[in-house]
Amino acid sequence: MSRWEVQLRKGVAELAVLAALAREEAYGYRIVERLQGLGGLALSESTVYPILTRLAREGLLAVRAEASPSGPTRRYYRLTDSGRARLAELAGGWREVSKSLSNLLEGAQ
Amino acid sequence: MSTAETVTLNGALQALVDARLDTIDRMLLGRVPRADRLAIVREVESQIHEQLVGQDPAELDRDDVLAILGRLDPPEAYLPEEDEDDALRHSAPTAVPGRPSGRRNREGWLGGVLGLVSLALILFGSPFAYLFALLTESEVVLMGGGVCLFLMATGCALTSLVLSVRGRRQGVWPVVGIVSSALAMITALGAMGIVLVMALG
Repeated sequence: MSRWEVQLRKGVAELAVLAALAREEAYGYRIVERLQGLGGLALSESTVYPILTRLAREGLLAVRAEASPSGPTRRYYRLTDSGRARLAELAGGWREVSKSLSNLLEGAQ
Repeated sequence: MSTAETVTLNGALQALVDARLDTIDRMLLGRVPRADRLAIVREVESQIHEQLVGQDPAELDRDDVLAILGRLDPPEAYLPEEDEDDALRHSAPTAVPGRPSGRRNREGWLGGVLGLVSLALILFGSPFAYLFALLTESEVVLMGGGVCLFLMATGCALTSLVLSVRGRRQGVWPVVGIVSSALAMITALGAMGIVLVMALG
């Protein structure tokens, strides 16, 4: 993966993590699996976990612990009201950028 | 709800997992808030166990665990982006928060070099100063040379000590600086004492 692609993915990582939690709560590894499965994003655990912990610390995510059948306690994350507001803000920004870039690329072709 | 059994690793296999978790912990130490660091390590540990689910613990071997660890991102990938490039270039273990890691690397390195210089000044400069004093048969030369050497070596050693402490935990150079500057100061004081005794005796 080129450095540009890496930077692009890192730039949208926070939006992706928030969007992955938009519908339902999920624990850390499940979020990583979901995002890794999206070929265009391919965000791995070293990107996702620091974002999750930072968003939780900033109050955008609420965390609850639940005993796991596989070993250590699972931490389930869900969006708080602030998190939803942040998601809406980032999603709006993304749509603008995406639309402008698409128009530019269409004009260039 | 999953009914998978908890996977309990034997001592040796758990040690492999713990080694990886400890490395990630050390990478993040001082670079992210403590709560974040602990949470990230917990998540990685949880992920490792999630990936072990379904395997018979009795049949798990070193290769199985290493395969799972091999699929994880390397420890340096967890670093905040501004530190990641420095860590990859210099293999620096940890960093003091609030200062650019590139600068910390330079401080540590400079501290180490100055420490070695101060030690070299004392170890190699003292005999030269003494021989010169013998040749000139002058106590003034002996005292003057000794004092100059002492001041230079001590100045270097103190600077080295400060830089090494500021750049501590950045590889081996700060340790070299601290040790060599300490040795240089001890030797300088000893040499100065001998010079004084000889001059007054």
